[in-house]
Amino acid sequence: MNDKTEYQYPQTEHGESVLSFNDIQIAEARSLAVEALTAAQGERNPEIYIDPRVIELLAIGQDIEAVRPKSDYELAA
Amino acid sequence: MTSILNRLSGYILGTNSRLSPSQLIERESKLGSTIFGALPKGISNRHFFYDKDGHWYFSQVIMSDRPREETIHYQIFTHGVQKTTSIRYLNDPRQQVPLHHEWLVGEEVTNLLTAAKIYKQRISELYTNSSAKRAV
Repeated sequence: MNDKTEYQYPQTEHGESVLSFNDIQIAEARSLAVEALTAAQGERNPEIYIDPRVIELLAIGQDIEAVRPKSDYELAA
Repeated sequence: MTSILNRLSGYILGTNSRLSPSQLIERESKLGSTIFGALPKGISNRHFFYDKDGHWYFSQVIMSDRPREETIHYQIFTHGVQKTTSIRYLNDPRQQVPLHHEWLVGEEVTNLLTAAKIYKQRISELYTNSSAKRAV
């Protein structure tokens, strides 16, 4: 059994498929579309663009909270 | 038993160095203030620290004929960093400069990221060294 779903698109008058995409091709197309949309939004509105530096800042904050003691703590002199 | 005696002697002699979480952040803030190098003339009481949930603070006192405390609050969201600046005049606390909000852009994001990386490294060393000492 084929595990790839075939999406059948309109057929010609002779019954031949005009277009057909498998799941992988659709996933690739979606990925490219999201990338293009994110870039377009970034150009238009920097507030929407997901800046990797900001993601790193969020991660650093989480790391600091993880290393910081949650209760009274004795620091080395 | 030894650690209990040490702790008791610390309380009696006033040398106990156990700090509450808020005191630990104060200590971190002192470390954080050194990230930006020596204080320029006319600047004092500099602080830089990470609070929690994506909130960073930078503050310093500017000594002049009208001494003022400037505080910058950075709040990290997934879609950007919001910067809020406030100024409080020390001689006249009633006179406040209205809060100013803006989204951080360009090189300033890189500068904050660089400072945050150094801050993380220094406080990690602070707590690692302390836990090593406690294990001895």
